[in-house]
Amino acid sequence: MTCIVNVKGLTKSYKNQSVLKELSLDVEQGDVVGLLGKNGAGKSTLLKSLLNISDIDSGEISIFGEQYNQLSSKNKARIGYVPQENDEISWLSVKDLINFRKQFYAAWSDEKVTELLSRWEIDLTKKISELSPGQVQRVLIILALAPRPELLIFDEPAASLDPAGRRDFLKEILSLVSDENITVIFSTHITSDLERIANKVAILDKGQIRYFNDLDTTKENVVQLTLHWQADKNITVPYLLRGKQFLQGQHAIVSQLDQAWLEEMKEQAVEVTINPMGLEDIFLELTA
Amino acid sequence: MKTILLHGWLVKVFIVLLWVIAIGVRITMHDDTRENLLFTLIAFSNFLLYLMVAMRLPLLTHSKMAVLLPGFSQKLKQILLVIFGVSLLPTLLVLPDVVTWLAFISISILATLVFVAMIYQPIYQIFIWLFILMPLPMAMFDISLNKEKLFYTLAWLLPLICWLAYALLNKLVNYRGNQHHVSKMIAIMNVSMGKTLAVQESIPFSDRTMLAQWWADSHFNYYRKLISAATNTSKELPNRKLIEICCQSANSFGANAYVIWSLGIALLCVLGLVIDESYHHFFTPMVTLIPAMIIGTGSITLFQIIQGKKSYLARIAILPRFKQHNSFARAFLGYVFSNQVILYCFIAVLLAVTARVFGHLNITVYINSILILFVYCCISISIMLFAWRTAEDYGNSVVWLMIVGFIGTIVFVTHMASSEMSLLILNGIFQILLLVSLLLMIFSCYQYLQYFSKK
Repeated sequence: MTCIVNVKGLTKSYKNQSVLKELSLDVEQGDVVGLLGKNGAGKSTLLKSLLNISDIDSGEISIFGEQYNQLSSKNKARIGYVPQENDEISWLSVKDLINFRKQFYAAWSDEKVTELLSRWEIDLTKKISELSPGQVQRVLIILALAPRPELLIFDEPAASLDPAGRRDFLKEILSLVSDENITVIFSTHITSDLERIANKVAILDKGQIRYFNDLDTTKENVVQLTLHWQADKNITVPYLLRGKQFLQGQHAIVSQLDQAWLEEMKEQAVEVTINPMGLEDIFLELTA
Repeated sequence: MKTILLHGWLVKVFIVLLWVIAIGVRITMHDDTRENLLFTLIAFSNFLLYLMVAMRLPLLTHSKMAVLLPGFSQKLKQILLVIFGVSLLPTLLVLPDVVTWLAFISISILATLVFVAMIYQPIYQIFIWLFILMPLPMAMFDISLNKEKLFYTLAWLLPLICWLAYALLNKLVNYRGNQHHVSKMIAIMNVSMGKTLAVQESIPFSDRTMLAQWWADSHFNYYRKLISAATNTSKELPNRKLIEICCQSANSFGANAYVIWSLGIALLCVLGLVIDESYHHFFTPMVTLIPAMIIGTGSITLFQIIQGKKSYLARIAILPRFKQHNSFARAFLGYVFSNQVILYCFIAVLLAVTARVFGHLNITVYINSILILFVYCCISISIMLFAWRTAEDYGNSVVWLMIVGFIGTIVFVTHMASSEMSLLILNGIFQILLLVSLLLMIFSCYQYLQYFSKK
C-alpha cells in the first residue's frame, strides 16, 4: 500500500500551550481514517497542519511523498478539504462560487459538479447565505470533490447537521468514497459517525495519537479486563492501552487478548473478567 | 452594573488623563489665555465618558436581568446619577465663574441626552450634523450668539434641562423598545474593538435596511459580473483579482463608495462656490471630517475585513493556482497596496479640490498634509501586515493603534493648518520619520513574503 500521508514528531503549541506533542501518523491509500477526539483535543489543528494552513513548531509531514510545505501544484490539486466552519464567500450564489473556485484549479470536473448538484438538489441561483447548514456543507463538499482529489480531508463534516441529515450525509460520503477509491481523513467526536464510514480509527488525546488501528480489529479485539487477586502481586498485562490499579485488582484495557497470558493468570489464581467494549467505551476510556 | 457601564480600561485611562491635564492647566493658568483649552479638555473628556456609558447602556436596559431582577430600574437610575455626578467634578475647575459652571452642567446634560438618544434611535445622529452645520445658518441669518450670551442662556435654562433629563431618565431605565437596532448595538458592544466589523458582517442580509442591502448588492454585483464574464469567456482572472474577490464585504470601500463620496464632495464644493466666501470657514470642520471618515472606513475597515478572513485566505493560499513561489503573498500585497494607493490618492485629490474651493489649506499645508498621510499610510500598512501574518489575534491592539495614530494625524494636520509651518519635507526630523516609516513598510512586506515562502 502507498503511504499518502506521513507525519513524524509533529509538535505545535499555541500561546505557550501545547496542542500537538510529537504526533506521528501514517495514512495509506484507500484508508478512511476517522480521527476521534474530545473538543479541544487538537483534531482541527492536526488537519490544518497537514494542509499547511496552520504553522507547526517542529516535525515532518509528507503528503504524496512531498514535503507538506513544498507541495507541487499537481499534488495540491490532488487534495480536497472541507473545513469545519463555513467561511466561504456568503454573498456569491452557488453558481458563482463554483465558478470562482474553478479559477484556482487547472483541472475541474464540471460533470462531477453537475451530478452532485442534481443529486443533492441544490439551487444554483441561491446565495450561500441563503442555504441551510446542511446545504452549505454539501456545497463545500462539491467544491472539494470537483477537482477529483485523491485525498479528502474533512474537519467535523457533520457537526452542523441534525441526526437525520447527518445519517444521509455520511451515507453519501461513503458512496463517494467507495466509488472513487479516495483516501479520507475526517475528524469527529461522534463515534457513531465514525463507525458508519471509517475503516481505521485514530484516537487523539492531549495532542497525541493514543490509538490507531483498523476499526473492525478494534471492535473485535479491544476489551476491558478486570483482574482480581488475593495476595500481593505485580502483574504485567500484555497489549495494555490503559490500566488502573485498585486494592488487590486492576482494570485494564488491552488492544488484544493474549490467550497464553490468560492461561497463566488462571494458574496463578487471578480472576480475569473480560468485558467487550463498543467504540464509544474505548474512546471514553482512552481519553478519560 | 457600574462595571458594565464603565468597561474598558483604555478609555477610562484616557479620560482620567484628560482630567489630570485639565487640572494641570487650571493650576498653571493665571489669566484667561488658556481658558478655551481648559473648556475643550473638560468637554472632550466628559463627552467621551457619556458616549462610553451610552453605548453600554443597552446591555443593561435590554438584558434579561432588567425584567427578572426586582428594583433593577431604580438601581440603574441611581448608578447613572452617580456616574453623571462624578463626571461633573472636573467642571468645578471653571469656578469661581458660576455662570460658566452652570452652563457646563447644562451642556453635559444635553450631550448625555443626545448620545443616549442616538444610541437607541440612530435617527437622532442628526443632532451631531446639525451641531456641525449650525454656525452656517447662524451666520447666514445674522444670528449673533457669543460665548458669554450662550453660557448665560444655558445657565438659566439649567432647571428646565434638569427636569427634562430626569423625566427622560425615568423613561430610559424602563425602555425596552427598538429591539432590532439595540440587539445589533449589543452584539457590537459585546466584542472587542478588533471584531466590531465581524459582528456587523454576521447580520443576515435580509435584516439590513433597504439602503444597506442595495449598497452591498451594488458593490458585490461588480464582482459577480467579473466571475460570470471570466467563466463565459473561459478566461483566467488574475491572482490579485481573485484575492480581491475573497476580501470583499458589505462594508468594503468599493467603487460605489468612491462615487457617493465624490458626489457629496462635488455638491459641497458647488455650495461653496455659490455662497459668499466669508461663510467658507464654517465648512472647515466638515471638509476636515470627510477625509478622516474616508480613511477610517477605507483603511481600518480593510484591516478588519482581512483579519476576519485570515483563515479563509490561508485556505485559498494552498490551492494549486498559487503554484509559483510566493505567488499568493505577491498577489495579496498587490491587492492591499493598490487598494490603499487608490484610497490615499482619492483623499489627496479630495483635499486639493476642497482646499481650492474653501481655501482652508494653503499649498504648504496641503503638501505637508499629504506627507503626513503618506507616513500614516506606510505605518498602518506595516502594522496590518504584521497582524495578518501572525497566528495570534492582534486585531484589537492594531485597531486601537490605528485609531490613536489616526487621531494624532488629524490633530497634527489641524494644528499645522492654524500655524505658520514650513514645508515638512525640509525638516530633518520629518525626513527621518519618513525614512523610518518607508523602511518599516518595506521590512513588513519582506517579512510577509518570507512567511509565505513556506506555503
